[in-house]
Amino acid sequence: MTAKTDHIIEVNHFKISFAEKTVIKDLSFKVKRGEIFGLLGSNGSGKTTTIRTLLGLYKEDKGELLINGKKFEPGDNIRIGYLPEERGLYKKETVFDVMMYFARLRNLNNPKEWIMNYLKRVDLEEFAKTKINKLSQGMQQKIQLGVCVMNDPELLILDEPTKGFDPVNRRLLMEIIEEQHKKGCTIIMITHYMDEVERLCDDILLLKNGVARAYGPVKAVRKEFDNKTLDQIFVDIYGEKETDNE
Amino acid sequence: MSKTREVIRFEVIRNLKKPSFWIAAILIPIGFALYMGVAALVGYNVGETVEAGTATSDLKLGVFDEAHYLSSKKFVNSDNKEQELAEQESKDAGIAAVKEQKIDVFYYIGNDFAETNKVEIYTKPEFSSITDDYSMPIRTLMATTASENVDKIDFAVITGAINYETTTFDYKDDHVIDASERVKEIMGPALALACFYILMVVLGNRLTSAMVEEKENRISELILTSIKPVNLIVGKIISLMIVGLIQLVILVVPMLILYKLGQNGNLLPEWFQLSFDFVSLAQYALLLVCSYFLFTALSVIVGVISPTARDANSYSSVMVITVILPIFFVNVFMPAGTSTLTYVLSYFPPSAPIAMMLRGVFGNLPTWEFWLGLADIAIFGLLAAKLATYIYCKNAIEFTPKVNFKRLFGTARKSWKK
Repeated sequence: MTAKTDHIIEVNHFKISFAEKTVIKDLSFKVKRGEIFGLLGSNGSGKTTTIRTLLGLYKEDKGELLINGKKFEPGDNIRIGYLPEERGLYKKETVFDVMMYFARLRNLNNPKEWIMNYLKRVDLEEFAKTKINKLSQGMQQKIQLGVCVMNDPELLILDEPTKGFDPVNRRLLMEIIEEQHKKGCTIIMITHYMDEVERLCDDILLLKNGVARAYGPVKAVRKEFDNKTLDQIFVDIYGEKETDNE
Repeated sequence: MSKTREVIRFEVIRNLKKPSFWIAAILIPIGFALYMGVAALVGYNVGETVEAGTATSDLKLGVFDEAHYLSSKKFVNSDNKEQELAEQESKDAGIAAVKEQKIDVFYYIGNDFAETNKVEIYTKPEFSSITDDYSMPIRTLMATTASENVDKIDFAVITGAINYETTTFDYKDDHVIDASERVKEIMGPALALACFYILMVVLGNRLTSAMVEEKENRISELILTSIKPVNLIVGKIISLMIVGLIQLVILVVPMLILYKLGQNGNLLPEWFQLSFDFVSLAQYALLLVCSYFLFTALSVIVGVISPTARDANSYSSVMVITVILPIFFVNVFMPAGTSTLTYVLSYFPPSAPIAMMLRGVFGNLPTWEFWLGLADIAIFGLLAAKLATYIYCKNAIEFTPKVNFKRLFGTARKSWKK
């Protein structure tokens, strides 16, 4: 049994490469329990790779990536919700069957009740027996979101959560994020929307070429960059000419 | 374990809900029954045609024996009635009689018969495909003539009429077994072979596509944070085996019921009164289960290395050919054909199931080899399942269109070094 520390996530000197390409060179950061943490960076900067390695989907070359003080394995005593960047569902199954399957895998109590309440909340109650491939993209996103938060997660990882969401679903997503946060859930967000980051995040990490270019509380990062907005900081960092090797 | 159980429940139920499962389950016995029915019908009609063709009672037959070989023009036809060939004046007259439809068949034995040994037969076009049957009267007459000229025994030797009665002894594990026991011995491997083949045909593609599904639908990441890859793969393998066995039960039970009803009502022909050796049946049922497990594990490997269902189908074809390879070399599994290839195919794990079953059918599988083969199949099945799990862990969230073996096994080497 690992004693709970202030930090739910600890990443120390993490390095990973694929074939000849080093994606993360040396990355260290911590995420405090109960905060909203923004993991930022341009496309291909290694954000998704970091999350996948943290969740045990990739194996690191060096360093350690810990959740609750230990390497993550499904079934550990931590409830995780993960909305991956590449997301889908069993297209030929019904909404209810898919949600029930994930609910059972996550040992949910009263799964039927939870599923029906959620479907009612997101106006999909009448589609419970409809096959996933008969739903619109927006409806499918609501189901994915439901699967992600159904186990009342202690740690919610959202990889580009608003990607492809229409304004209505985006608002729903934000509501759910805030609701989870109020319950004490730690949230890691990977996003390109700096307004969301500025509004929601406590701490941020800006990744570039496999290393952290900025890391800390939003205010401190802004101060470091002459109180520019995060949008401007992002443009400054990712717009500057490449001087370092990949 | 409870999560594996959830995977099994989910996979089994959704497979059973698929119309394609039931279509395959019902169509195979229906197709089989239709095939048997058509075959029986065709066989019955062919029998009738041949019988009708050989009956010469209603035909007018003529002959011109220029060589004066025949001692008589009378013969006993298939209706056991004496029939006589009408003598024609010449070869041309006989041919003209056929052309004018005065006679149906004309036989001509030329002057040079002793040198050429040739009898010419002229008949109507509609009889052309069965002309051979119309040689029967002349053959009978010539045989009668010949038998009058030579000694009876010599005649039997020359015409091949000697009965050579052969008694064979079947062996199992160097002990002689009788014919009924041999039939019992065949039932186990023959049924196992038929069941294995049906399972491969019906479920082959379903196995691979079930593995690609998570990757193709981008569910892998979502599911792998809920369940360990090993639990997911084990759940999938077990569920696919259960689905296969359910399919088999659906196929076999109606056949057994029909067989039993036919047996009780004395409706079955004598040759179809089968007897079973339950120990042998149990052994081959075990071989079938292990073989299907191996096939499932191999299919899972194909599924996990494939980025899409389409790629999986291509790789799957290669695997199936390897599995059915022994069928192309049936002769080497017979006792007389045993060679190095027999043993290579028997112990090369992918081809081992069918090779072992074929050897069982031909009575060329000693008991010790059966158990050795079974162990080979079971152990390789487990290793294949382990490899499938390993690859799945490494490759589950690769969405690239090609399998990157270098990266896959490069990563493996790296983690083993650690």
